[in-house]
Amino acid sequence: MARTAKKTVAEKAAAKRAPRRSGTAQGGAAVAAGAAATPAGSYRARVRMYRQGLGDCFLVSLPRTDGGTRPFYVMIDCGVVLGTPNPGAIMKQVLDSIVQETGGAIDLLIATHEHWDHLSGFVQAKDSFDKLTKVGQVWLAWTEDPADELTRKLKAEKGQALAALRMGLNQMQAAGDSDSATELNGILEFFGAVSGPTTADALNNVRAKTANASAKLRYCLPTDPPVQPTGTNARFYVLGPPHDEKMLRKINPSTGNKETYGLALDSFRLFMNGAGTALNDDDDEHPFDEQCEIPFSYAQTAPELGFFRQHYWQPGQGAPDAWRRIDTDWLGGASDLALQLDSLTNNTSLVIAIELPGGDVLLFAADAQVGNWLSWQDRSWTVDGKTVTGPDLLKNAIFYKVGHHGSHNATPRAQGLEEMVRLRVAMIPVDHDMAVKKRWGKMPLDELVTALGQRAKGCVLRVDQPKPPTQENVVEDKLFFEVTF
Amino acid sequence: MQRILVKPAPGHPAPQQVGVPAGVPASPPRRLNAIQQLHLEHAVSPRVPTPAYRPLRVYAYDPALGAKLDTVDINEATLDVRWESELKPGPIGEYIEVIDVDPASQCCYAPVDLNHPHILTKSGLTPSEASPQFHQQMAYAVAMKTIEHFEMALGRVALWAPREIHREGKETTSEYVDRLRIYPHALRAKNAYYSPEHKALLLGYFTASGSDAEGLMQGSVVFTAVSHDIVAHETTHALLDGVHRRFREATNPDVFAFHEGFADIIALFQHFTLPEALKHQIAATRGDLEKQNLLGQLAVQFGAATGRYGALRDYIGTVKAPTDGNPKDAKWVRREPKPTDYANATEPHDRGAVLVAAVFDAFLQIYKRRTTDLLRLATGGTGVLPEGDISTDLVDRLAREASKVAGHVLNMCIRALDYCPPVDIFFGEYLRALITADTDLVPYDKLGYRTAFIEAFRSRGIYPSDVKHLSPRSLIWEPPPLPLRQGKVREVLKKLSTGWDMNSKRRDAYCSSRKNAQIFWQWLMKQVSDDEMAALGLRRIRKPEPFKIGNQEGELRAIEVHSVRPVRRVGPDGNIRSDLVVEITQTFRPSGMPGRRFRGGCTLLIDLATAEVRYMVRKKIDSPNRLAEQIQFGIDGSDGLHGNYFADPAGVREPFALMHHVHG
Repeated sequence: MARTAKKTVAEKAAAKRAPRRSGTAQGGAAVAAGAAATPAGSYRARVRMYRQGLGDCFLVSLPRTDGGTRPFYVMIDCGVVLGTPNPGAIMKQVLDSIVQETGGAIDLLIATHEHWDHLSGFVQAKDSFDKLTKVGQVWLAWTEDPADELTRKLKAEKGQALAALRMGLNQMQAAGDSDSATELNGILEFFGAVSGPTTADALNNVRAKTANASAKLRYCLPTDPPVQPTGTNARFYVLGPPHDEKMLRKINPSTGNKETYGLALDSFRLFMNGAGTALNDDDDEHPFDEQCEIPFSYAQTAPELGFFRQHYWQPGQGAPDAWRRIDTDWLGGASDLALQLDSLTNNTSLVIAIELPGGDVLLFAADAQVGNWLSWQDRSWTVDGKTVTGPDLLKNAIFYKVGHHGSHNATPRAQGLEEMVRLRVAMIPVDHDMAVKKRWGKMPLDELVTALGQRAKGCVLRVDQPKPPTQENVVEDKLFFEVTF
Repeated sequence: MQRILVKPAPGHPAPQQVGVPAGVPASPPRRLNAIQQLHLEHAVSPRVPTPAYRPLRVYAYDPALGAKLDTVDINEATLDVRWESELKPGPIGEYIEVIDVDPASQCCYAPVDLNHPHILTKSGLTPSEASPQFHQQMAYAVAMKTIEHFEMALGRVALWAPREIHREGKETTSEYVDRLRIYPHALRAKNAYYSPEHKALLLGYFTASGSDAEGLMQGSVVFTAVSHDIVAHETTHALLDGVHRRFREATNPDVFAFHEGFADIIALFQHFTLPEALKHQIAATRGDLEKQNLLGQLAVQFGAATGRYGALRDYIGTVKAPTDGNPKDAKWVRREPKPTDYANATEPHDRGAVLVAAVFDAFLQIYKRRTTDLLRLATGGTGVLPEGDISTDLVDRLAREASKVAGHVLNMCIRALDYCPPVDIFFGEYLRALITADTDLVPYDKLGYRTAFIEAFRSRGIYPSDVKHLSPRSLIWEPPPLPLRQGKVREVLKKLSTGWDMNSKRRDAYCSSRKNAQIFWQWLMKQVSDDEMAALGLRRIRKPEPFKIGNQEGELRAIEVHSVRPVRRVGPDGNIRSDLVVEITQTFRPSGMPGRRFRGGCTLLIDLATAEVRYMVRKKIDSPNRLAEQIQFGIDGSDGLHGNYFADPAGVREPFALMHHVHG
């Protein structure tokens, strides 16, 4: 299989960090060369995917139509997954490269959703981020809008659940159940480390760019009309996230399966009303009266009470029955809930379709899950008297930023990849070795990579692999790939 | 007072006359013969017969019914649980150990001592939700009852699945597990499951709110440990796992569905064997008796108790209120089966419910046949019941009849387990197993049990794929196409110990079964021809070797003899006969699919007297179709959030936890 035993390019990049500092100019030169491949001024868009590891960071350049010389720069996300070695240094390198390329001025900054692997750079390399002194606009999804009632509800639930899950994780670790703890921790890390800066801090840094009056903060709704920024001839459509709780919670591809749907709605309540109650500081949900309870500490030590020591804890004699203990089984719902929170957050991804002159579309799907994708089917806008629908945009997609690092349920077949009949380039910000380290062996899903290859005629670019040799007009740098349209 | 002093003879101590009061002349000792001696001993300490049963009180349904006036009478039942003289506090007996720790609440609950005189004289503790000790008693009682049903049906002591110990880089080893553990308050969740990992039932409790709290106080705690149906259901999972370990591997959509459906069937019919549970309902719904609505309703209530309300309601029937309003006129409407039911139910619980509905339907037909004469007798030959309440005698007789049929169905369904393939079961194969097993037990089917089963399965579209007709005859399993030579089979049978029955020590039964498996394996490797092996659907190899099934490369492992166990039956001539069930499996590891296993194998039923292989149930290892289907099924099943990140399938550790959690 293609993914075996390749040292990731990002690691190599990290190893050569010192020379790279002075080498960014060469990177710039490479871009210039890339641009030179098409006659100057005739390009319609350039897309650059940074190769920091498992995480998203994109820079899109659009030509100016108002005679301006510097392109219109769109920056989408900037993060790398927790557990990446030297993340601060890598993200600094990425941001420095962006500052270098753009001269510190970004016309549009987009943060798609509140996950560490999309936002970490905004705090990890804050100094470099601060060098982006001019930001024209900041776009966030409506799911970050504190004035939105549904947002408030979702955020409150998420806060409670995360607090309970972190308590649960502590208990698993204390009980020595390392398997469950590792699995749960891996998912929780998408929400940032337990201590230190959080995803909320990262988003605040993004919002702070709009502190001065010149920059505009927009909470995007898919019902908003498309926007054509002044000085460009590209049109920006917001496809998702849908302002619909049911669709947001729809996170599994098997649409016919009502059970999965039920699970999605219930998991929060199931866990929080059950195990979650025991993770509160004051647990008042004990099932029996206090006069029935023998506290663990007493049962483990009281000399007159041998029953539980003999049959449950068995101290001292190598505990032949230790495998029968159930110390953490009651927390079994935790990883389900964590996965669901994770998917729900993925589903709040701001999905942007950039329509270029002539109708070709660049599709940035962030980490949208099924409910987000399905909602695009009902989207429709009137532009210059003509109707443009969600499926139209999918059909015209020539570039696709593959959702959720290539996981199996972030790119539906029907009403998804199969509709992208004109696809030419797919980019997957994934590092399989890192994913394996986190025990996510299915990232990216092989079947999806193959399907993408068939659609995009071989132009599938992965962060963790060199570009396919046939793709001559892809600029490959240690730090990024760049494609010019 | 005068004392009689006996002078001791020199050198001899005086014989002590103990207990003879002074002044009474000692009569010369009477010489007792052996019989008199025995009588005397008996007179001195009369033997108290060991009781056969220990009556224990339980909730017949679940505690919620006790809170409603119209069901308050029927909510308690007394189970006669087999007497265990060695029962210790816990209760800890031969099969079950109840250990009541509650890790979420960080506390334990003191173990109940069912031998306490105050508890013994009262048929156990009084049912109460507030007493953890009663919960221990009830979980123990219901689980023991399920075990009894299994042992009665199979004619041998029940064993739990052995513990499998995986060590890095070594072959998996197995270890005997003597007791199933029950943790009555293991989880603070709306969940209860059998854990193969711990060999334990983890029963949960949760606070009722919203729709869960119907008929309850909002915020009251609901315990799964005091639901008869849930405990029986989970115990059945454990017992089934003990007989068929490979049914834990979902290799096709039917396997988990079978685990679920089978557990439901056992729990449901075990419930129906309690006449207390039936009488009240039979009396209450007298007018509709011909329509048999009440039992269907019960089954659906049962579904509600185990959290499978939706699935059973969809396949058995539902209570419908008339469209113009009064919910009191709501009537039970039985759902007509459709031949597409089976194929359309793809989710394991739905498909399991189709199986339950089929067995339930067969039960109803049998019950109907057996009670028409009663109804005619009770109505002067018309069979039409008059208005008003029916006589209590009739209620009793009908309830007894229903309970008897329930017992028969229970027995049939469990017995069929010995006639199932060792891996990858389909419902159609289970039907063949049912028919074959029942034919062995009751050669002449006067009451039409088998026809009722076939009819019920067929009307839901459940057929075996490999038979030409759906008649009881043609559904019986066949012997191997190339019969194993009896002379040779006789040789190996001589070496096996086949005494595993109801009186065996369970550990001995386990050990002898393992040893038998080894002997049989050696015999297969040495004495059976390649052609004979191929006829069994297997390939004889000594060591793992590269192999190709269809276009799929991979590694074929050596055959394994999984289980050798006796099954007893009464032969057509009235003699007790024993057969030997031998399960042989073989595994293929397709390359490029880490962790994926493809298994084939066969079950043989060998007549111990004639050494003839009477039946063979085969799953060929080298079947490309089956392999392709399994791979496809594996891919379809890998959806779900877990598959977003993780390559290992979800729920390998606790397959039943996930299954049950979804349904809550």
